Amino acid sequence: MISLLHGFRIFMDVTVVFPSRNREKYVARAVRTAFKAKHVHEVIIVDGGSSDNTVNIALKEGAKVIIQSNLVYPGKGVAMRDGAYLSSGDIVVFVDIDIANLTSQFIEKLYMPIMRGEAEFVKGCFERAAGRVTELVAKPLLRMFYPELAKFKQPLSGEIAGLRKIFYQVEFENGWGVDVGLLIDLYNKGVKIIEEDLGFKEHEMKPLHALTDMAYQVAEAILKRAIRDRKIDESWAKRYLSTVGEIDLGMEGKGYA
Amino acid sequence: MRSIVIGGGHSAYFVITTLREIDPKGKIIIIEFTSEKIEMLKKTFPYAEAIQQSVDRVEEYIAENRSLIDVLVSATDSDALNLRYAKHSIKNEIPMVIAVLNNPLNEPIFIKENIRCLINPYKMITSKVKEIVNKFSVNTVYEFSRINGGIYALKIEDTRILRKVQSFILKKNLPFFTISVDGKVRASSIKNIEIGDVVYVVCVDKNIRDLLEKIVEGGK
Repeated sequence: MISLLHGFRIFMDVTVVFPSRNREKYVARAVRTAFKAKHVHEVIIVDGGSSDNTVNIALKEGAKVIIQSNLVYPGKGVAMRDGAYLSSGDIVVFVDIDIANLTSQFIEKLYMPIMRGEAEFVKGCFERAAGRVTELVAKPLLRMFYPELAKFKQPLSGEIAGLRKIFYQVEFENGWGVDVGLLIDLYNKGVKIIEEDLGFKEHEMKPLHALTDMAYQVAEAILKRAIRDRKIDESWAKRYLSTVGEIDLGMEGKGYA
Repeated sequence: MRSIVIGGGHSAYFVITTLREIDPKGKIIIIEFTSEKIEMLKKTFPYAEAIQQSVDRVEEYIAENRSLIDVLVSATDSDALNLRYAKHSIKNEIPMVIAVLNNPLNEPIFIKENIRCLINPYKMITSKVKEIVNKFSVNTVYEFSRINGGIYALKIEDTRILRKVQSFILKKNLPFFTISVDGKVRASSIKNIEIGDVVYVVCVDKNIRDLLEKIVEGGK
């Protein structure tokens, strides 16, 4: 049990996890920056099968490295799950590796509410307007099925922090649906969640055509949960919702219990 | 023999059935994380004990039962977990610790962490493709887990390779057998090796493989 001193959870170690693939340009700076953040004792690079020098640079910088257990693309969720499983910190922080203006304060801001005992899971949000998939897919669907989560400005944000143990209670989607899936599942588990403004994030934008798969997977993750949580009638969904036929409802043999 | 198998997927299936075959009277404990899978495992392996543990509790369980475990096999669908549990088991002096890889690219990472008993189910792909496509190469047919060696195969393409291989086998006194073009297995005299044969050499030194490779490449 972690004791509280003047409202602070003390003696908490932090692990920072960067999912990455062919990011040799960013990796050294990201690892160094993460190690500079207070309480960070471990940095993990989960590599998605890089063909460049990402892995060697990460090892040289003192990061732990593991290659994604399943080399699927997009495999963001696989990488996040492996990162959570390999981590030893009391708090695990996930950050995109290619943030151009990444600072140690940026990382600290993510986990400090957990250290202060204000939250168990923190979702980062930014000054920039939320992305297209967020505005056109995630937010409308969340408003329909999980209105209590509609208050989140950026429900798809990949910058998150949480007590390590909470990540072991939920299933990770393999691809782009992982972030919204975690948000819904952790909310359902009664985990205390807050959104933290991280300031400005300088980040590469995906071209519009690259967002179709992302939008599909985000919608799939939300609808799957809406069916599971009986917000949509399952037999109706199977009959009328054409995507459901392709969706693994995730209720057989998986960790939703 | 008392074995613990962590994981309930297809890798674990092969591990459990093989452990049962090796020691039908041995005790096998399967650790899984989800209750649904536990029920399925109990039905599939009625001779084993399937128990549910949370991801974080497995290490405690290993430490608590360390004196009772002979073999531990980490065969989950996450290499991160397999690495973590295998490291922990070695630290707890479990006599035999085996990890089954999901992604072959993780092999060097596990070896660096001193996890020697490593099963890479994909390794065969490399040697099979080489055997089929690249006839000039020296293929690793099997690598021993506990000693630094294996069984290596090479094709005798011409007279030059034939002579070199014959003298090398004689000099190093290596056990071998050959398979002829028409599929006959011969394990007789070194003089009976013919052009077109595939020679299988048993070595207890991996350097031998490199030397064989040089012979074959020199003969191209």
